[in-house]
Amino acid sequence: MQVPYTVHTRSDTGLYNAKLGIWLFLSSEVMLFGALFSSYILLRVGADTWPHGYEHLNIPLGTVNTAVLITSSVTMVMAWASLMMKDFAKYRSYLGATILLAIVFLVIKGFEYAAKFEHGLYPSTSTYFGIYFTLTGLHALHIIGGIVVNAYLWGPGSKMWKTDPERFTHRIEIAGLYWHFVDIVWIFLFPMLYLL
Amino acid sequence: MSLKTFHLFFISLAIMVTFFFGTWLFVTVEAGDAALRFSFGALSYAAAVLLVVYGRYFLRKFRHISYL
Repeated sequence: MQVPYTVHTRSDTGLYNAKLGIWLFLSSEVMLFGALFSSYILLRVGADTWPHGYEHLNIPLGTVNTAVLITSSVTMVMAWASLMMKDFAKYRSYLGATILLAIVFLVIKGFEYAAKFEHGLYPSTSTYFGIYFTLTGLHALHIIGGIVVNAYLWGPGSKMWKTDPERFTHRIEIAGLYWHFVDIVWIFLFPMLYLL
Repeated sequence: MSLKTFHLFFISLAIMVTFFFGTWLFVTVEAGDAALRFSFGALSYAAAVLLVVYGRYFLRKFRHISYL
């Protein structure tokens, strides 16, 4: 017996299984990051003094990373669109570019972390650095998760294109929704931690 | 919500953040190298405009894909 609604949508929800699943998962992610963002706001509002991010963090590196993630969202959606247009070669190029951009983001983040550690700045240094490392570290873990999933869909997982192309296209859409969520988190993190 | 809709939402946020960053650079111009801040502020505004153009292109090119 086949699992129903892996390709076609349910008439009552208008969604196929994986899309319902990813939105439920992303809802829990919103709560996770929402709690941390709220903690940041409450700690900042309640503090007598709070350091400005631009005095301690590397704005040019943060800006480059923002551009890298915005570009990676474009390549991700283009990978999905390529499959909609039945162009598998283009899909692989775009998804490969997304993976490479994600790695570039992590490498730059690694340089930023290394510079902080060299200057003796750790999560235990202050509340500001505690929340900085928690938020950016958790975000980086999500980037790693995205790389693993995308690498699978680029490599061994792409065999499904030959057997069940519609379902495979749905998988890429799901991976794209996750990737966009991770990028949206950064879009909020960058001004909040680096600029304000 | 499809990836198309979520992507458009993301691009809207990206436009706002690039515009905000450009404004932030202009407002804090006295804090550092003025010429550099003006240049990067202008570059940031240009990126915001580029994203608007891209958003319109994306909407036109993928109008046949559902928003749901």
